[in-house]
Amino acid sequence: MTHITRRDAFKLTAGGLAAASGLVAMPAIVRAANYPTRPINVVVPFATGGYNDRLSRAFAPYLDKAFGQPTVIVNKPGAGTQLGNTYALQAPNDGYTILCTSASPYIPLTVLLQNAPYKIEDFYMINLPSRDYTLAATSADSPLKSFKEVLDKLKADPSSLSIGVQPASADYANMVLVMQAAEIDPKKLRIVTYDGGGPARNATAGAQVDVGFVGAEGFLPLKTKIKPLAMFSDQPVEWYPEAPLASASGVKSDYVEGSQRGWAITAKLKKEQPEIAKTIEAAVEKASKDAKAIEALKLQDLATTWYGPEASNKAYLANAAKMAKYVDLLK
Amino acid sequence: MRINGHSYTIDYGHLALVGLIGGATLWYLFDARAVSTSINNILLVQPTAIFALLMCLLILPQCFHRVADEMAAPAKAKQDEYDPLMPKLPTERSDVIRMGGLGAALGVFVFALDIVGFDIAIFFFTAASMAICGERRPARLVLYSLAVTICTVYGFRALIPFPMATTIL
Amino acid sequence: MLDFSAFQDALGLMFTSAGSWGWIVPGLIVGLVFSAIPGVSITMAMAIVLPMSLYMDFFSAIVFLTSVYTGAGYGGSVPAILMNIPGSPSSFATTFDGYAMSKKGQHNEALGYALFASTICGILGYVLLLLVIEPMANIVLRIGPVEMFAVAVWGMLLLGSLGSKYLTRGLLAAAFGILLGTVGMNTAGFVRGTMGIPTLLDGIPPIPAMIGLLAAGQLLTLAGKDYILDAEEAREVSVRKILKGCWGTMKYPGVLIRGSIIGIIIGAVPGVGSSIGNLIAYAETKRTSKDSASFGKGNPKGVIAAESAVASAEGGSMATMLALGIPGGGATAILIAAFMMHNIVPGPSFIENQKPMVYAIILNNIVQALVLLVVGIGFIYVASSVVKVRTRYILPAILVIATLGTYAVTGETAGPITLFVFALLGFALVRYEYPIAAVVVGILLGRMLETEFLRSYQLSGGNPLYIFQRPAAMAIFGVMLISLFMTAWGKRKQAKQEAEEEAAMEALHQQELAGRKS
Repeated sequence: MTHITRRDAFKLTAGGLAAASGLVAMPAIVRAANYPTRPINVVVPFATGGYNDRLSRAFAPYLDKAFGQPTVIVNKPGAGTQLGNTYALQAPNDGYTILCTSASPYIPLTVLLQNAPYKIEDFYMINLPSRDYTLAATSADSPLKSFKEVLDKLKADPSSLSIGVQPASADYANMVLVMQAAEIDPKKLRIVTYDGGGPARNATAGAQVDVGFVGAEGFLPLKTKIKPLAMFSDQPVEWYPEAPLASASGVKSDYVEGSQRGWAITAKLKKEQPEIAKTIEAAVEKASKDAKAIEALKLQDLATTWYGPEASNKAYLANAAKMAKYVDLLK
Repeated sequence: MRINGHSYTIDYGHLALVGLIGGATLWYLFDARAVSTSINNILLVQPTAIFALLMCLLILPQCFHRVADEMAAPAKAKQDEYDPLMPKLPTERSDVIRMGGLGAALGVFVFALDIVGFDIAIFFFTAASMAICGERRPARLVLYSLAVTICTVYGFRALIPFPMATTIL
Repeated sequence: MLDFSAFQDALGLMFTSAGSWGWIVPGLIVGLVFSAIPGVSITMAMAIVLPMSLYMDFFSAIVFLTSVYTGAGYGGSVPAILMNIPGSPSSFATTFDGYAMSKKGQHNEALGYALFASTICGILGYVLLLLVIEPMANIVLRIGPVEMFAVAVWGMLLLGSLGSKYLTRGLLAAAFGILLGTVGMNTAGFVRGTMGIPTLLDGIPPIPAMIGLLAAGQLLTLAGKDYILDAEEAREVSVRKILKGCWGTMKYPGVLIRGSIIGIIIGAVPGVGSSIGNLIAYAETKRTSKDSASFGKGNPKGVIAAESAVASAEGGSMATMLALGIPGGGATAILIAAFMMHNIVPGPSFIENQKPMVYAIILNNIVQALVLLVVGIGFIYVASSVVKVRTRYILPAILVIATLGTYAVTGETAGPITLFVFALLGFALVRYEYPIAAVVVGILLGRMLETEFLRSYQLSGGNPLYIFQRPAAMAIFGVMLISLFMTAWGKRKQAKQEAEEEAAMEALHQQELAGRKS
């Protein structure tokens, strides 16, 4: 990986414009003045076709306009975003690499469980417009009627219902937290593990498992095949208003947010090149508030809401801290 | 080697291969068990690994041939019919050297990609493998390698969504 | 069943949007070319063109992408037949008999067989889809881990038909392959055997490993040869022979239908992918054939079986995608993204409200399969010219392309390095007569075996009697056991006969010798 970095720097000097000859030696602030002068790489740590990929591609035209430079989507999937995140952190610290990622739960998860070679604070959130929550659901023709019924059944016999969930995920933590709050021993549950949200949703819709705990958003196309039982959020979710809240079951439990997706840069860039970071913030804000962008993304069920760096970082760090607190549940 | 009055030859290469597979399997089994002995972790891995180790033990005697047997064994191999499920390596010395050379060139090539850049690595690998396959005319070596380099670098750059690190192109 | 008014609307839709038909040929060519590059899978080919399709209108974009899908389904068989390198895991079984036919100078016919099998079964898959799209989708969702485990075991049974001189070496190769396939993070979140390398968290990349293993036994040995094919007269490219192969396919309707059924069902199950369908179709065809001994030595039925499963899987996968909005594999995940990018969400409501559109998409795919026949013959004609080029030119180029293809899998040199490491392993395995194919099958299926076995265990709470609640799984295991038993019985009978014949021959020979001596 270090080779790439070194060579990229080399390329900058050798292959760039004539001006490039003395560029590297110049003080950083001078470079910031005319940023950006060439295309900007948007690293998506997922394969083509996922939410982040679609978000970046749909948003790109508006971002291009705001930057005055084209953006190039670079898919770097693998190891639960660890490869893409590492790639972005190792890129030259010049503002030509930004991230479109699922900051939560993946950055905390790779740090807490995979010993990723970075820290939660190494990333700086620009805007996290997309929020998703864990949904407990059952198949449409299931005899189960409410989340309270599920908890009552499990209390009587923890192995009476099978539960589908992705291990080491926010959903898993929420499942354990609610079980503990309802005084059910999570170790006695019949848990079936799935290595992704998709397979867990299919298993729920197909009644392979009695109850599935998965991110709610992905259920939208399958809405008619499932029955929502409990949404792990404070208030009804705008795009799935009919899903009852987990607290409606009478059991109160803490929970972590399912996912927070959007735009990020490295903390190093923010610290060492504040001018460039400002330019990026301004560009994402401008594009997010572009009426045409809002309209186009809404049609594709993609989020554009501008929360800004302050609110986004606060939400990101708070959720990461919560996940760190409950890390033992994830293992 | 002599055991019980019979002469044996030891097939060291085969012994090394069985040792490698057995060793890797054993290491993998221990690595998996070190992570967790929960059934969720070793349900398939443990029995499969034990089965593989058992097979290694059963194969071990096959690495030792009785000398007498070897002499007596008829040359029954049917070389005329090609079986894709059981490919045969060439036996002629010059072919073996060429194949080995090509394999070695491939090894250098894959590790050089990141160090000298894709363009330079491709150029030298193409030239080297052409030479190994018997091309000696310098003009063809240079021009054809150049053509392959340019076509593949630009072709793949247009094709794949990842950056390719090159030094010159 | 078929909704006729919607069907008529679909025909109308097809003709009013005739402009989008223009995308069929470019799509097919893109699919054929990309998937013929070793290492570039169907999924990758589609991911590459996805951004391009953003600028087209909806129907054109879908026509273009599904054409790439159709073309890519066949393209992988070209390097498999000509050079013994499967372009992607789904054409692995094609190499068994396809390459053997090439070695006999029948590459034209082999490519023709593959093309026609691909076309016919592609159409078959879509026709069936047209009729049963909704009920099928609902059945697919009910297929659980126990059934999937049965399917994975079925795939492993292929090993039995691969035959090896030493049983123990074959079993060791298979077990070792399975273990290699389980490296990384398993479905329950445990990480094993990664040696701390983050790339390995997702497991050993199967495509580079597969190409590496196979390359060692085949590609690199070409270094000592002047041309890919030994016999000079075999190095021809003949449309007549290609067509002969095409027509020859019609002689095996049973093989085509069996392959299609296996392909459609397995293609429709989400998450299985096409890498197992071709193995099962091949093994079943071989097992039930009277001339099973000639499989792996250039029997056209082997090529047809493998290709028919690959091509029909496309229809099955599309059924799940259209009816449920669930991707059956990587390629349909890309298609879903394309739908979404045009503000259309596939799934139950899409089928309900936009039936004409669904039918139009299906009909267009049938047209694509027909066009593939023509484009495919042209493609074969050009591609098989590699047999006429001296190895000193073609071999370096292929090795470079294959290496870059493995780089394209993840965009890291981990791909090429995997290729090399497995080439070394492949050398050693070939040298000491271990069946490479067993290792490859293990790597391809190891993860699925573990995942589904584990889920079955979790779901049943460890109670083996759970299988009695899953009649479908019992049926699969039952069919499997019966078919195994029948084969074993048949083999025994055959072996007995052969032994008798041999003894008789030997006796005759001895008599002759004795006669000569005296």
